[in-house]
Amino acid sequence: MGHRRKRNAGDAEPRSQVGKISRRTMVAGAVATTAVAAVLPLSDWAYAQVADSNSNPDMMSFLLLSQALTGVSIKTLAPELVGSVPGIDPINIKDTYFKWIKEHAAETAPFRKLLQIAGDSRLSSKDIIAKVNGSDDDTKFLARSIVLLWYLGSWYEPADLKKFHDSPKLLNGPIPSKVVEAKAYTQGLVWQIAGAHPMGYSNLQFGYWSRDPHDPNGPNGNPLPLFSPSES
Amino acid sequence: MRYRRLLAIGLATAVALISLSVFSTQSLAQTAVTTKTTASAATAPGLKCTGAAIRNNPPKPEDDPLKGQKDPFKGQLAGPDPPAGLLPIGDTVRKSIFGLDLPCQEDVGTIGQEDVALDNLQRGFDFYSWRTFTALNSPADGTPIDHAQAGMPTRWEDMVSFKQLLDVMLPADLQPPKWPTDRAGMEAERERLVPKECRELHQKMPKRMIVKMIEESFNEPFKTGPLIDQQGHYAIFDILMNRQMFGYIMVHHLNTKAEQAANSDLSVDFPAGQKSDSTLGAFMLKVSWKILSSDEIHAKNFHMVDALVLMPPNAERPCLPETLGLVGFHAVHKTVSRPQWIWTSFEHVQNVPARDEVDAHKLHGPYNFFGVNCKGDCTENATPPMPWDPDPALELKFRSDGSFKSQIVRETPLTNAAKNMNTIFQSMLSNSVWKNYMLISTQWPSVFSCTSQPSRSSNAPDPKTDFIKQPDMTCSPAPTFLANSTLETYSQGDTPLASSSCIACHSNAVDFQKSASNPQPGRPNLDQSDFTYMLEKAQ
Amino acid sequence: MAENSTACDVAIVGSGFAGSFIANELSKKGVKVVILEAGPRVKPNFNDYMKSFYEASSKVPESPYPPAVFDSKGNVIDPATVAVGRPSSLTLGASSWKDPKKAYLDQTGKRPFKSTYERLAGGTSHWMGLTPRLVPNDFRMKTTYGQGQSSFPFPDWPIDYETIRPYYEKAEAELGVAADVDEQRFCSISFSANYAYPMPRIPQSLFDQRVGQALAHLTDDETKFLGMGAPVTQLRVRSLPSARNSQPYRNRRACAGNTNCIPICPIQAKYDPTITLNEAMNGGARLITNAVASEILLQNDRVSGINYITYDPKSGAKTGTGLLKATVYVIAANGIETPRLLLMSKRQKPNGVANSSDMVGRHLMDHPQYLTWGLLPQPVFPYRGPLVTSAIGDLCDGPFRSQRAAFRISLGNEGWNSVVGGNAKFGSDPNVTTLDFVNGMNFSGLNSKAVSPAALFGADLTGALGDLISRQFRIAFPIEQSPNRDNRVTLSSVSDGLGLPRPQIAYDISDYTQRGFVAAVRMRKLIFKKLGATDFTARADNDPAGLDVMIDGRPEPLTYGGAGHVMGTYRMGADPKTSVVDSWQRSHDHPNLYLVGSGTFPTVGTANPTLTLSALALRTVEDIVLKLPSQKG
Repeated sequence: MGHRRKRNAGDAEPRSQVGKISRRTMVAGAVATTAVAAVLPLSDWAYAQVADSNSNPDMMSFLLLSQALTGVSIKTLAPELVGSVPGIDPINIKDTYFKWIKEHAAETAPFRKLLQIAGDSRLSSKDIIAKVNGSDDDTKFLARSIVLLWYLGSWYEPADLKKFHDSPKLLNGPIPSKVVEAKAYTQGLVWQIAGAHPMGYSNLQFGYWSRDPHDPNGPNGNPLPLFSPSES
Repeated sequence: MRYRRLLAIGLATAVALISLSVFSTQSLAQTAVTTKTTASAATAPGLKCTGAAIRNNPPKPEDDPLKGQKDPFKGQLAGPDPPAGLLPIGDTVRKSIFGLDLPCQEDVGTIGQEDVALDNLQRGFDFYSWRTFTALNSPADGTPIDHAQAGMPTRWEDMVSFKQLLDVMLPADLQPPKWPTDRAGMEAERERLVPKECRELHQKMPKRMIVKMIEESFNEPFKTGPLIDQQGHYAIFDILMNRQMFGYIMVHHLNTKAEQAANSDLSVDFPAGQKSDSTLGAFMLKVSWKILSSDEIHAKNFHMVDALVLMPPNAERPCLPETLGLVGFHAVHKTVSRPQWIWTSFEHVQNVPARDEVDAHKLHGPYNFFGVNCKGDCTENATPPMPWDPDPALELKFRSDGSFKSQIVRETPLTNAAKNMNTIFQSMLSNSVWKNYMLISTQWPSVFSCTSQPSRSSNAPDPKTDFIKQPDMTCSPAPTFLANSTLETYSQGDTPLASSSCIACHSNAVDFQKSASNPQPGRPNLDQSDFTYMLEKAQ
Repeated sequence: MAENSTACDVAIVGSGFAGSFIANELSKKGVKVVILEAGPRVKPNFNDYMKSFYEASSKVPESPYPPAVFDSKGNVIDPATVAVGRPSSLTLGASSWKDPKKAYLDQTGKRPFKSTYERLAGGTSHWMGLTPRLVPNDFRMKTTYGQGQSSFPFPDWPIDYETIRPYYEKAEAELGVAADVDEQRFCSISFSANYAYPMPRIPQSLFDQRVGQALAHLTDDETKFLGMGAPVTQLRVRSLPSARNSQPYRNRRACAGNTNCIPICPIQAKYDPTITLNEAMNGGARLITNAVASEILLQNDRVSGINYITYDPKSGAKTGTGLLKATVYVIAANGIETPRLLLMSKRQKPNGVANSSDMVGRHLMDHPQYLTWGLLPQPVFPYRGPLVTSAIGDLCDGPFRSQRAAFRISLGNEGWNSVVGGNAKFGSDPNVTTLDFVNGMNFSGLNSKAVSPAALFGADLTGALGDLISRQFRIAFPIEQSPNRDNRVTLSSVSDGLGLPRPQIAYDISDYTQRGFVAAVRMRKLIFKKLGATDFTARADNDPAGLDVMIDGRPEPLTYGGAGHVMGTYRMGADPKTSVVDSWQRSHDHPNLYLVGSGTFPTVGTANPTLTLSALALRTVEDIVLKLPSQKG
């Protein structure tokens, strides 16, 4: 084709391609431990059909790391990976976060260490967590910053997290943080996990608050879980 | 049939064109099918639609030079320039596109020539939008759109196809609205609803479109302000619905407030377009007009309509004969696969400059809503000073001294893909007034799982669209934001909820509740009014 | 002498609820109105405010609105350098509330006054949107409960509920209030025949429903501490009337439960005064923004003009002065800024304009909020719906009021958002709880199981947060504050960026009010017991709003929040010696001066003041119109 996709102001940043996902992440039937999780049918899973040429293995490792650490399915973190047909993701928060982390922690040993742990295809999510917990402080606290990024849309410096973890009495107010951008706040995951939505950002309907948040249209007549938990 | 169907099945003439076997040869057969299915109300007179694809029976994607692309244009559109060798588009292809009717349903896919699935889908929707736009704006007299001239009435302006909102949501003494299928009946209804202030002029100019103004006809949604052109006149907005929407409103008694209240348990669910049985489904339009100066009328760069414009309610309501030029066009179509509707927006090419053009001082004026040589207060995208209500004495001029003109800039530029699609269509329309129009974008709901929740079965109020739309009404629209510089002038941007997004805003449209929203899980009845604010206008 | 001079029929200082209501009604009658607004203009749409809100790391009530509290380095901007400053929730901590280099209000009192407000077009648009009415006895406290108590702190209002009732209805129409009449008949609230609220009530949240069930069966033993005079065997949870659309209203959208009423509704389903202000301007009223009234001028005891200062909104630098002349003047600048302006106007009256009674600035009142929170045994899914949908109002009146303050029980839908850790000292939830479980800390009180707080990842983390956050609840007890002449607004020696003296505040909470806290504490214990809730109510260390009350012989450590209600500082009354304005809110001292807003309230009951001040403003319009011809002559 020869066309270099030059970006004009109206185009989004070139999207980080996610590459092929390993078989491990596709194993259906591995049930998450939360009570509300439902087993997802096998047909929901297939390989994503994305071009190899632009694939970014770091992005893939980042997503697998994030899935393991946040406990939220990779298909929520990166909806492009959903389903038997390649999904799409107009919001594309993964790129926002990945870019932010690259700007704040890229090429540092802790970040590379995390990517390396996650990129090891032999490891399940539990193993990834164990390895992270067994790492040095810098790596461990960076992992926590990454989780908070996904959960709240805000960046907490690993150094601050370490400081107030080690000496809580030093804290006299909120731990400093920065909202990455308006979009990130609206994509915070903790709200979904709790069955709600970010305050100030609701896509819901008048009167919804007087009802149970579970969507009743799950498979086998069961309600759908409030969020998609990560597999394995 | 009015429309010349695909005739010549000539050979592809350039590398850029696809091979012959995949043209819509089926369209002739399809036409025959379509004309027969007039039985149900869903295929009432007026606009028909087609389920035919432009590329019929294409090769398998792995053998297809267009990789399964839905449109017939070879090459990637996501780059800064149109693909080399693509233009000019050959006659055959052009006729195949313009020869087909309005699409009943979008025909899109994730595979195609673009690198990213999202781009392929967007391209499919943008192509669908242009097909829709050209089908709606094709001259009512059968002239093909690529030869349409400035003053030719369009198909959507014909009373058989679309009706203005205010002619449906009538005051009590004029209820109920009627929409007969025969022309004499339609004319009689039109006569019945001519406002008294316009009677005299209507006698002299019976063919003129009548635009009855209310606040929303000059004040943008949620009272964000009027738009004033370079001659100091108000831009005028109008809202219309098609027969399928009208039919649903009448069947379910949604045309008056009292009846809505009595019917507040209804889960509003307008009929959806479907290609498999050539159902058009619900269609709504929102258009913006500019009052044309005599120079502009002469230059013939706008689609023009001679109209009678009745000023908004006031002690005095002048009825003004004006020649209106189309400057903005929202077309919204509900389909079975996109029950959050598909939202398309077009503008006149000379409306406003883009932000990067303004910053680089690369202006290509004159513009309809931006002064290249603005003097005085030239704050961009500022709302006009108050008061906003049109003064009857000034006859739709904003201020007597013409001292204020909106200085509008497009904050979000068009994507390359949209620009290239525009270039392609404008080239095909180069002999027509419609070369002066461009697609801004198409917004569509993207999260597949949201649009394909299992249907709830036999208790469905309406077929085919029985999706539960909670908890998330909006299903991650793509693109996230969309604003027309004439219709959402002051809501441009990328701030969630505050900046214009068709689906996000329209998902807030709800009915008048009688009781609290249903507490039983599983039962519909969410109080929503299916993405339209039209029902609020009932009296 | 001022450079530019503007003339009109009625000059209004302040474009909040009262100012906008009056401007709108007068413009509709063809009266020429000019409004002076200290802050910036109304924006065409909320883009900028919403963006500021989303990007704020601390989503306090003022977070969407200018001016900024912190500079780019995260330091508090010294209010002495800010042209149009206002109090901020972020400068109410132990190290800042008494520091005039950080806090806008110079607080010299025993306890912090914790309410904040905005100074921009539309006034305090960050309000919650709750619009209950005052109950009939609120207007006649002295007569009903103070007989035989010479030191009973409450006067009677110069008007009664029946007089204000038609104006309540008019105000409810303008605001667009959602409620059902039948549900609101308690504490003797009455309605005119066939009255219906503009919109049906907002549906109750799951938490509302849970509390209603829990309090459906009570025994007299359990509730007799309330002193209601009759046994209380049930407490009904009623929808709170709110200026929140439950259906499309006047081209505005219905609520979509963004759970963000404070500080800003993203879709303007909650009424804010810019709506009425825009109507006023569309009707011919003129708004002068970035114009700070600095002095009221008198001539022979009539107001003859208002001097104002203009400034550049970007730099804050003074750009000039102006003089606004009118026949009639209305000051609608809120319960702190209005007395500030009156007291600053010393040229002809050393004690300030309209202050022959010496009452200007005195009797500052809030509704101190007793905040309680806990975990329910079963999920109730907070952070959904409007911040507050229901309350228990039946306890707001009764024989006990001769002894102790009344309270309302306000059920929160936002979990621990504003209370976690004690007045949200360490930030708001769900951030604090999330941080606790990610980073192995325990500022929320929830991460206390193991020897040291757990730091979790993956399914353990989602499990913990999903379980705990979904069970959070909070209940606030807005407590009636008794008027106290020593709670007052005066002028500070520190000034703002325009050189004007900032407000100085002296504030305390009386024994009468503290006894209301005691009853609220007992109520909390009862409710929590009935809910089967685990109590997490706590007071953070060094909380400047800390308050110890004695209950059953033991000190109970409490704290209070501000309700955002600034009231009482230019009270209405029949006697010019003990009040500032009459029942029409006209100054006793100056016949062409009106002072409006909740500053005129002699007592505050337990109702949010906005509806009442709006109703009073509409009543004031009648007096202005009636007297305007003779004022001109």
